[in-house]
Amino acid sequence: MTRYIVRRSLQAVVVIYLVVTLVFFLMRLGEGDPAQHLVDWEQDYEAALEQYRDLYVAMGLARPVVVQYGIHLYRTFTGQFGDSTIFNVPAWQLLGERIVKTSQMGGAALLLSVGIGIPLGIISALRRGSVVDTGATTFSVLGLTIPNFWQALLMILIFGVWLRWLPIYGADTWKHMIMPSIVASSALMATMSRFTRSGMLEVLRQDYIRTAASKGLGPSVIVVRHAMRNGLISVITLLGAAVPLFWSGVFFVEYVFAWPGVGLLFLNSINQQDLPVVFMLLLLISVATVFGYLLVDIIYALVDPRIRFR
Amino acid sequence: MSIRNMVLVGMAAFAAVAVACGGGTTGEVVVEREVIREVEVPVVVEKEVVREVTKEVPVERTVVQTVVREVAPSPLADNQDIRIAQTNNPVGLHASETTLQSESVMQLLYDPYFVFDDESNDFVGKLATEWSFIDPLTFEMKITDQASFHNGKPFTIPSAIEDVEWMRNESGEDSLKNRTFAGFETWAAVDDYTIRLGRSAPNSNPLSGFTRGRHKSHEPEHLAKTGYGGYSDDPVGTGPMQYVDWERENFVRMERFPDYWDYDTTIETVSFHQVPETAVRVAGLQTGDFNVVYSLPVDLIPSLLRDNFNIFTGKVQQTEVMYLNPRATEPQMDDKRVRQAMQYALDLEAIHGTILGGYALPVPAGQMTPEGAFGFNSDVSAYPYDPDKAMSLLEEAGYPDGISVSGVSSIGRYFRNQEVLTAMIAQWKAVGIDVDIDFRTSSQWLAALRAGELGAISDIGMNWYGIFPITISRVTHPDWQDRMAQIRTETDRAQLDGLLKEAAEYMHDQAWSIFAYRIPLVFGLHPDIEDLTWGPSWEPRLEDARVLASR
Repeated sequence: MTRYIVRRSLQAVVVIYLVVTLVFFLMRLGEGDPAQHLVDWEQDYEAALEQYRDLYVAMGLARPVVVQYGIHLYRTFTGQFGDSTIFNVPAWQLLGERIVKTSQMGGAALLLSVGIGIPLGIISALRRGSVVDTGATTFSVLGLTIPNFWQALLMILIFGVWLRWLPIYGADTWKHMIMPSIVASSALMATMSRFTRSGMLEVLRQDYIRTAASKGLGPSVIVVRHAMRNGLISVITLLGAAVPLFWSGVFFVEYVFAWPGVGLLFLNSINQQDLPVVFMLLLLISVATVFGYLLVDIIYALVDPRIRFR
Repeated sequence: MSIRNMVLVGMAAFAAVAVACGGGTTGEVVVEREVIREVEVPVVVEKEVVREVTKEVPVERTVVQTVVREVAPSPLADNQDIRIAQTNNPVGLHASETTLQSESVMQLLYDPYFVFDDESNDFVGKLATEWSFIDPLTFEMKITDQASFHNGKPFTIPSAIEDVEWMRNESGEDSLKNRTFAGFETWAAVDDYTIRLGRSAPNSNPLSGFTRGRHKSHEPEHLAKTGYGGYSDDPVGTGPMQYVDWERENFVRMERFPDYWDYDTTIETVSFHQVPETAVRVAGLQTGDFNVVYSLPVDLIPSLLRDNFNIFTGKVQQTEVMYLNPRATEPQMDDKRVRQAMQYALDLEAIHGTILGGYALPVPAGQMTPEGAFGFNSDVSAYPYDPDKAMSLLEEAGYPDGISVSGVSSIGRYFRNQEVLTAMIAQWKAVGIDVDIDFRTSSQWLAALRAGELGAISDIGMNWYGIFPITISRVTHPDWQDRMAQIRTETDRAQLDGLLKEAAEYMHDQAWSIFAYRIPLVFGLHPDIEDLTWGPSWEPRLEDARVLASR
């Protein structure tokens, strides 16, 4: 198992290196550069150009691309992401300011997805073809197909403007978390419900379930002790992907609800080409995703004896 | 706003409606009038949305009219708190922040030396009380002896100089090493409240460096203690509001500075909240989370007015300009008659009434400066809408079948610029001018701008502080550049006035620029906010502002 983990970790490093390189060159391929965002172009054109040229040199953008890439690699792998070109503070500091808020919302969304999605999938499987199953299927399809920014605006209109039950923006109290976390969780909740349902249906048809029933075990024991253990293995994959997704912020949910988290920072940094922040966040998201899936693989092997480390 | 002022505003609005109804339409005009507010409370402000539909040209326009009746005042709310939602908050709280979104916040934390007055179209002193030129290169300015910083230290000339020198020498910021005192390269204190400033070359517009985000002062002892980076997290200024706390890209909170030197206000706190999504800002106004909302889309205004919300429209010193660039690659644009045809083809009045909702001010004289401003040429007037003339000019220029040109525009960088340019494209098409505009994101547009690759047609918001040609330098024709060089360095006011008038006439004749509209501030106000206004430098004016008890 140790050899397996080491080998997968080394593969992860290669993937991260490729991501870092790809992002660097993709950002360079795009038109413009971060210096142009710091200049007041509505003033005298010549003065603006002069200001731009000074900034371009001061920010190291005049160096050859290969040199910039080398510096970028060195800094990335030594954790020196530099200062935000927009906020003029270390990129790490910006992440530190946002990560708590994003973790709160992401954690709540994850809890909702697991807490509602899995039971709903199990009930659907057990009551296949019933009104409950149809309702759960409809709910899942809606959750997957309604764009989350539109869902967010709809909820703001109903629960914020019309009913005045919930605050519509910001992150001050637990009430502020309700709408963003529901919206952020809806797609994963629906997917989880569908995965659970199909996994459970697959398992419930197995011989060992029939054997357990013929031995006189009660339905709850059969479902909890025998069916769920095997039926929910596929859900682990979803969790592995969801954790880094929530941790990096659900971009448009944070944007609509003005939730001051990592996702909003990421969107604004891309818009303003704040390269140190963009690189840092992309790297962290890549690391979280790669190691999230590594963790899933390990858990798979632990919970499913049919899978062996090789 | 006093009753008198409200009456004046009402009369002005009524006059605007009358002008809009009477002028510039060629067909029969049917006016549909809908009174959308009837309030049975002491203070009554009725707003009417007037829809005009011309029969000949199917254009519908919406104009907001304010009618005021004199009544008793409403009681004040217990909490005099103003909560403002805007698209972006400042990225830092230094006195040197210059981004547009930081202006409202900065103008409350710090005082500028001068502000631009939208009535006289000239500079008026804020911290500065007297000023004069000793010679074309030497400027002397006296400041108020009443101002103090939020930490109690007096604001003096030595403290202002210490700030500039600390920033240059000790801040460690490359971008501040060449910092000047509002564009002046030398400085010396004459006494505690008088400074003498010098520059190496004459400048015709020396005071613009003191306005909007250009030059404000840190408290030097505090700056030395916090360092440049730390000052942003604990700013100390001389403005009417002092810092309480902030979170980047979230909120900035300020409270009343009780010892403010310039005026007193009943407002206790002001907070700015960053809410990027327009629909959420408007929803926040409806729920009462905010009592002021910036960057209001004009299409939502009628429904807000119906729900008793108020709209503030202010003037900023920025005009949206479409440049018609002579270019070797598109030689037809070198012909003055083609550029003039493009001007005659545009019905700017229709665009004002429809796409801009009547909220952007027109530039009726078709020149950079507004009427009454220094350098305004009363002999120049805007090109009228005359499509026949446009077509005959094209034919005269040798293009009877029309022309095709291309250009670049930003998406949403300026107030409804994409929509306005799209309408212009349709109007040009009607006279045979086929225009292909490449609408780009801000990054792409900036890249094209600095590379000088904006094409035959491009647009940009031009700021004017003091005299007219600031960003008009983008017209690269050598004749124009020569005039610009003269204008920039002429310090004799009479000579300068003459040069500016000549330049306005020349610009008009050459038809290099379409002065489309003055970019407005359009803010939504909750009915509980009264007499809160903004100046042309985005400065919130809190003197008379108050929060009323909810009805």
